[in-house]
Amino acid sequence: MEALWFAIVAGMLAVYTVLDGFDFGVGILHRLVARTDEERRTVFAAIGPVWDGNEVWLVAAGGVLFLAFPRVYASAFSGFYLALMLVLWLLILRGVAIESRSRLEDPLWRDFWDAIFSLASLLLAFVLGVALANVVRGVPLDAGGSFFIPLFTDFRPGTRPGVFDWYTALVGIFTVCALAGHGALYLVWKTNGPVQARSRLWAGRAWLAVLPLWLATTLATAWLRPDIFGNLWRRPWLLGFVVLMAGGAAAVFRFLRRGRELAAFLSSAAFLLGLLGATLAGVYPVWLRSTVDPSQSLTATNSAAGTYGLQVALAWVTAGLLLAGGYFVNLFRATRGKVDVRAGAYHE
Amino acid sequence: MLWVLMLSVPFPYIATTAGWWTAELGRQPWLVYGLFRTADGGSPQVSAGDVVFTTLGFVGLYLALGMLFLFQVLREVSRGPLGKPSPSAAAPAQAEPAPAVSNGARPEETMAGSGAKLSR
Repeated sequence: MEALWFAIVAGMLAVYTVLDGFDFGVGILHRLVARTDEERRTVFAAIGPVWDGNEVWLVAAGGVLFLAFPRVYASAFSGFYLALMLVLWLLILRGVAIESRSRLEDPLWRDFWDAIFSLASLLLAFVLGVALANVVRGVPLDAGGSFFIPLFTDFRPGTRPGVFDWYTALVGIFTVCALAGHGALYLVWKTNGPVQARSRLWAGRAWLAVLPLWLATTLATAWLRPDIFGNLWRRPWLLGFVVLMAGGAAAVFRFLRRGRELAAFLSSAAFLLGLLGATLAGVYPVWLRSTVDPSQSLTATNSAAGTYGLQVALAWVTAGLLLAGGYFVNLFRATRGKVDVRAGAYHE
Repeated sequence: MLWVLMLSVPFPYIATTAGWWTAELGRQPWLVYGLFRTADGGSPQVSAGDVVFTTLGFVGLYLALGMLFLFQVLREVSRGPLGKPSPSAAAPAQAEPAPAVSNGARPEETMAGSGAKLSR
């Protein structure tokens, strides 16, 4: 039962990364792929119908974590207090930028909000990677199951690490490039004309940066947490995630060259799903690893809610996920095709 | 009588905020009523300095967003109703809609949601 709920929370986090990931990627590249106001409105129209829905997956994953693993939730939300506040402020600024830019026709006003939107997206992508790296590296959990982690200490992933150290920063930069590539492929799929041409260019550039960074993060992770790779070999079916990841990366280049727009975007999604699946399945059953004493780690078994509660919640979460899934299928169907701002979106 | 409506603009904000206060302050000293006390719910490892830092951050952010909101509302008000060139008190019947609501004269000024629909 705990394993199932671990998979549900991990799956929701992976879905969040794939969905909101392209929003962040689009934000990162916004000012690079779109120059005129009409082009920039095209970019906003491409993510306009979906970005806030995508963001809710993070809230939902947090809620389900609270439901299924309350001790992990309590420990992590206190311990990462400062980092989570940064994320919250960035998410607020990003949302405000999207909603504010169209209010005034002044070019300086619009440029200002575009800059805020890009900067917040960039930092959010970075912090998202840093967050995952913190889970992989571990935090200084004490015997009571709580910790507090400063934003940085000596930038080394030792027993008293900060949120930012060289390892988490490396994963953060990798995430920025991977999500930029993901977002560029989304724009290639959803737009036409000069925005699409520049997005295709940037998709290629971002993915070329992804490959060496992917290798570097994998090597750094193998050096820091060799046991994760041991777990992958011990549970061979997990290698399916590795195949998905590698296959997705290869397919991105293949489909990008052939002009198969949707297929390239879906390959990038498969890469991200495989990457997160392999990582989270590799750290299972540990949610938060203690850098002080590994026996004080919070795992799926020692932090789960009562079995009866989990059984009841399983029925509800299944119904909820089916509803959400149906909604997203309907949403992407209803907004299918290329965006056209001349019809009047994100105007003034 | 319409000027009464105009003066009632702040009331929804007061009502919403007062409602939250009633729920949050009225429940004290419980975090979960009857089950979990507020004093037991604090994070022992989050220091007072961290809380001050983030509270100041929120105050700053909300101040900036509040000014942004006022700026946009006052701008809508100064534009006047239904796209008239100058705001005129001589047209009370048309001055009725709340100032913050965008009116029919500028249908292209859409919110994110309706903009999405148009972008097909």
